[in-house]
Amino acid sequence: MTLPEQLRPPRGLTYQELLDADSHTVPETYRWNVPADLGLADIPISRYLSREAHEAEKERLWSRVWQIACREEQLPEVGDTFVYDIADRSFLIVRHAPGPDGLRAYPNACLHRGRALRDAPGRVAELQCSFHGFCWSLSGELERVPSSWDFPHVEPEKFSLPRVQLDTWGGFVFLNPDPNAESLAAYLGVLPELFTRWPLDQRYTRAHVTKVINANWKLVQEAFMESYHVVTTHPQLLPGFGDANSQYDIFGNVSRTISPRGVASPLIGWRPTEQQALDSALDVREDDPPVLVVPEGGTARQMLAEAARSALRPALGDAVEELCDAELVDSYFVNVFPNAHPWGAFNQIFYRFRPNGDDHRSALMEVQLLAPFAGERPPPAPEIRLGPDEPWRDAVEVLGSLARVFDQDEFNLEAVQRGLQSTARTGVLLSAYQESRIRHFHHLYEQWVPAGESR
Amino acid sequence: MRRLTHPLTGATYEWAEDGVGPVKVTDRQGVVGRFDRDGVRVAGELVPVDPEMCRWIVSGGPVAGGAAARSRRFAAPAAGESAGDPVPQTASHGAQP
Repeated sequence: MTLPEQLRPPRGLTYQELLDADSHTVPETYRWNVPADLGLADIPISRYLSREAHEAEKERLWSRVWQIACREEQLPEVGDTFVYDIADRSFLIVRHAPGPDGLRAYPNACLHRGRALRDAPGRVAELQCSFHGFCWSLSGELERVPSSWDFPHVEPEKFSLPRVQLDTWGGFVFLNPDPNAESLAAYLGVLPELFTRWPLDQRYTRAHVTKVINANWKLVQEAFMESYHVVTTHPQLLPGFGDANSQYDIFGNVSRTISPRGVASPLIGWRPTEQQALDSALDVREDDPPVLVVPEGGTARQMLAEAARSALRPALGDAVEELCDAELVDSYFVNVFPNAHPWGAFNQIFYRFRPNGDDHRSALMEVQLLAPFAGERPPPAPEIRLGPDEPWRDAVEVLGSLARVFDQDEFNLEAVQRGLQSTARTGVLLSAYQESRIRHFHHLYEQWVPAGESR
Repeated sequence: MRRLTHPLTGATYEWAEDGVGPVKVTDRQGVVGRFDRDGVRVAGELVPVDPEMCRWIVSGGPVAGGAAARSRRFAAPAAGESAGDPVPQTASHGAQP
């Protein structure tokens, strides 16, 4: 699908034209330019507000779709367990053997009276229910039943824990409750090719923060799927951020945005110097000491790329010399339907968005920084949990300036939820191109949750 | 102190030396107002203000540097370094969505 030319606004330099000026040859995947014409229809507001939509999602989406449960690095040793909760369901991921095939997932429920087998992550030798002591091996075979004489109807060989489909990609553990689901590889489509140069399985979790936000999970997620909001939500970035030069691409269950940095927004109506563009990208105020100085004839993009090369060299070695400026500088954010957002290149960001338990009016926004490393894999950072009234800046020690950016984003989110509950409109208005990834999400969403069930 | 010019309006936003607000905004005509983190007016004549710019000024604090200025882009562990060790900062400032 292509976008009609008349729908494209004047945006100055296109992202592809910017790539032509890169100091290195850019990866072929950067040259993919795949807009989508997904129409101009509004998105039904009830989809964000109604309990019926949430119930339909539980039945039609979360029970059937491939979804990320955790990182493999959270289960490094045999006996490690992880509890993944989605809406009102809970799953237990267990490492029962070393190696890439050593993970299994089960419904997190004892086959006796149904108690969750595990309440939290931890290392165990077997899976024993804390209620009456029914016990299974890590690989799911029944090991013992207290007072087994009283259960003549339990045949041990038929009483193994039921398995849930599980697979891995990029260091992420995916599960799918639907036993008839297509393979993960088929589902992900082009995603692995996008990340060939930046293998996410060779990263470790440098920071991990989860925050409750009082808004529907889709609404929160959509705030991180476009650069259209930058002009108003992050105005401080505009001298060094080409928001309206961004490219939006659609690939099956995957979409991406690439937004250039080190160039000025076409929307500001004046031309910053290269130093002003650099200072903006580095949050250097007009009376702060300089961090980097653009030399005569140099550019902000070059300076940002060189600073990033220097920072990555300890972990990547000479391989950094092969990275192009775009990989080192630009914002490259990907969405894997329905709720995972790995960032491309060495941006380090990963987001995941879920309903907050069974509450459709609040969401969990999860942020992980996935950093490259050299030598032995460092242990993953512990998760920090923030409540709805705790600002992102409470996590500034681990997220740095990113926490401040999220505080700007969050300023709008609960207000959007309130506004949608009050508006006279029945649909959410989306742009044709800059919000096309949100359209794409809903295009897929309607395939999983038919409109009559989500209203 | 710690002043930024709004890229669209030309107004200056800065951390007020006396802490009132603590954001001081001066528009292109020289009209001044003091605002809190969310852009709510605390004092002064100026009324219209960009709340997101106020949030950015406040979250950056009165002094340059520190954790609030650290960019993930310029932080990666050195060879043999564990996650618990300090993260080296080649360039310690920056933020992007």
